Amino acid sequence: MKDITLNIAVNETTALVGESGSGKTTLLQIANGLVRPSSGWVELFGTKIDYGQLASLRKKMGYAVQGVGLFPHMTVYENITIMATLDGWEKDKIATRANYVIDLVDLKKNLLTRYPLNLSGGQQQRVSLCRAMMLNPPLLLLDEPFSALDPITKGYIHDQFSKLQKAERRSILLVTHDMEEAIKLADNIVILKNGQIIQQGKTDHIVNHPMNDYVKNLLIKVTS
Amino acid sequence: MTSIKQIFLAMVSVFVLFINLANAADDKIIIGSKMQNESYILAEIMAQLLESHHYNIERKYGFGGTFLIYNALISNEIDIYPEYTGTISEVILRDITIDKSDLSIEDYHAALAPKGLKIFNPFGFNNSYAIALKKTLSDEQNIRNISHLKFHPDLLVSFSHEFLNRSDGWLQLKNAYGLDFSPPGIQHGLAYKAIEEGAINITDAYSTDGDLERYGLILLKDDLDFFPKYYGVPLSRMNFPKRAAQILEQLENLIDDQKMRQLNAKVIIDQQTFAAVANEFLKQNKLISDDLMFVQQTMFDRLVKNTITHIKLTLTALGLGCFIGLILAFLIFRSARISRSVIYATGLMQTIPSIALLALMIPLFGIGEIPAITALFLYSLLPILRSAVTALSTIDPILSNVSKAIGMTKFQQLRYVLFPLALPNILAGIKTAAVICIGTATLAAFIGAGGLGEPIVTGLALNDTSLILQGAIPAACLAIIVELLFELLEKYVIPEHMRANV
Repeated sequence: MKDITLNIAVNETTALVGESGSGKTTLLQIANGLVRPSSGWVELFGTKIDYGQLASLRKKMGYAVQGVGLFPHMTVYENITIMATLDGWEKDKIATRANYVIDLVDLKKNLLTRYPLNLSGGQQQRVSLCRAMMLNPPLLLLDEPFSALDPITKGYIHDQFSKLQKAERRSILLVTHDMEEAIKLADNIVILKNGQIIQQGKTDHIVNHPMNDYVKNLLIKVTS
Repeated sequence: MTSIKQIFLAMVSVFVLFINLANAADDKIIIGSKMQNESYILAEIMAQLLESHHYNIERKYGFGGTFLIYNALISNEIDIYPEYTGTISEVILRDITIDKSDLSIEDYHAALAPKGLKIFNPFGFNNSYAIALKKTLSDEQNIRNISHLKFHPDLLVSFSHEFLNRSDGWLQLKNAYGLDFSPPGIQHGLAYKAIEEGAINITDAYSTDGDLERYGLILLKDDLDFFPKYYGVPLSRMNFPKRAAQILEQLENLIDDQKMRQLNAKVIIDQQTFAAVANEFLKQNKLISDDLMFVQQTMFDRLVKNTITHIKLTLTALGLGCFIGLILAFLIFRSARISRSVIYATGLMQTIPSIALLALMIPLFGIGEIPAITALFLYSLLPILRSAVTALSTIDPILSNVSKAIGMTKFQQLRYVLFPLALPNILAGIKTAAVICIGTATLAAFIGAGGLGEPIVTGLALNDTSLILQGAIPAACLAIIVELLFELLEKYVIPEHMRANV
């Protein structure tokens, strides 16, 4: 990747869109320090990343990933609350916050004692979102969180995602290869190709003023 | 390298020390024996004699060879054991250049003193090589001395392979007596039967062999005094308690060749226990009173004692193996190159035959529990390390990435994600190591560490299958129990869908 300059708007959803290999996941991982850029820098919450303090920094960044990444040896409830527990939150506080995020995504309570293996893809994805939101982070990093879902479930979760963003406004960086998803969920869209930014701007602006044929093509697929 | 060895030694010592603290005693005398019938009997005679004078005796019987038991003596593992003068001059005094052809007791004292050792006065018998033949043949043809053989070139002669090849065996014997046979080799155990069936007439024997009488054999007189003398003597360190030494001096010259043959025969042929034979002997010689109740260790007592020792050896080695194996695994699993070389190195260790590995431990750690535990530890390392490294390095990268990305510290990633995910395979590795340890620990008896190998070693020495089974069956049961315990443990700590066999 080169020549990337990107500002993420506070309390808005920004979608990184591109084909596989375009560098969108790498960009996300640069944002939370999983990948260190060979040159350039990342600023989070107004300061440059201190790579010695990643663990505490990452608690301010919820993270949900393609393929869900739930820990198979923990129950659903443990998956959601693990970081709060490790941070020494009191039990009551954990339960209150957990119940809040669980209600937000409409997760059934009887699933909490089960292991992720026994959940459907949609349920797992909701658990993953709960875990990302548990510490009430100002920034959410979501890497293709909805890609494995069937269209009906996906539509339903999309609605919940929008509802969620209205309820608890936060900054979200959403990686997706699906232009339709980006248009539906994001306030801003960044289009990547071969490690470079092709176009970025408000969603409306991109839809109405595609910069070149590549972007047009992405949009045509959506409308057809 | 030295410091690693020292740290390790210190750790093992502390382990063993804790375990041994309970049964430490000051006035205890530890009696050893080699893995030979005669050695067991003599050791048991000394043990019961001292016990009748209220000494606290510990028995460490069944050492695999002179080298082992001698090392046990000089490293305080045992205090005294029955040895032969010939063995002392040939093996223990190997580095001393004196004419060893005709050493007196005084000569032995002088030669042993610099090593801090001493011998007692001999028991009386001389267990050396001898030439055996049927008594009937000896009477018919009037063959009494070895020199008479010269006049009977038609006799069928066959010797054990060892006797044929030893420098003090056939090669010198035929020169000394001017004999002209070309004897084929025969396995010692078969020679007496061959004589009985008339296939051969003459073979080599030990002069105190308990089987001689059963086969109606007599020994030819060594009229030229060719064979070196192997007088049985107690061998101890200089600091052996004086009063106990005085008590043992009563055994001087009580057992001649004939008597030793009888005692050996009672065990080998009549299947009496060493304890019973020793007890009867001491009573006949009025060394212990007739009404003295002789407490024979029952099979159950032995079983309990051996099993406890066995578990102790296995658990200590396994504990160390887990501790060091897992720490090592956590340190190296992120680098595929280092992992490969470490697993390769520990794998090499596994290819060393266990008995050889035990023997290799002796120059480093002496004999007894510490070298045994060290060898078992090295054996347990590979399965634990390999399973842990494999399990840790094959964890789904998404999960390890997520554990980082949600803000876990390095330790938390290991403790709450990587370790639990690797646990099913790690436990499987530890289970394998435990079963290997239990099996291999039976060999520990060869270097004096005791355990369930003790009856096996003794049984091998005496060709006593029931004794072998007394070690083998409990060891097998132990392995099965451990296997079951691990399965229980897996059920307890690992959610069902994560278990290795699901």
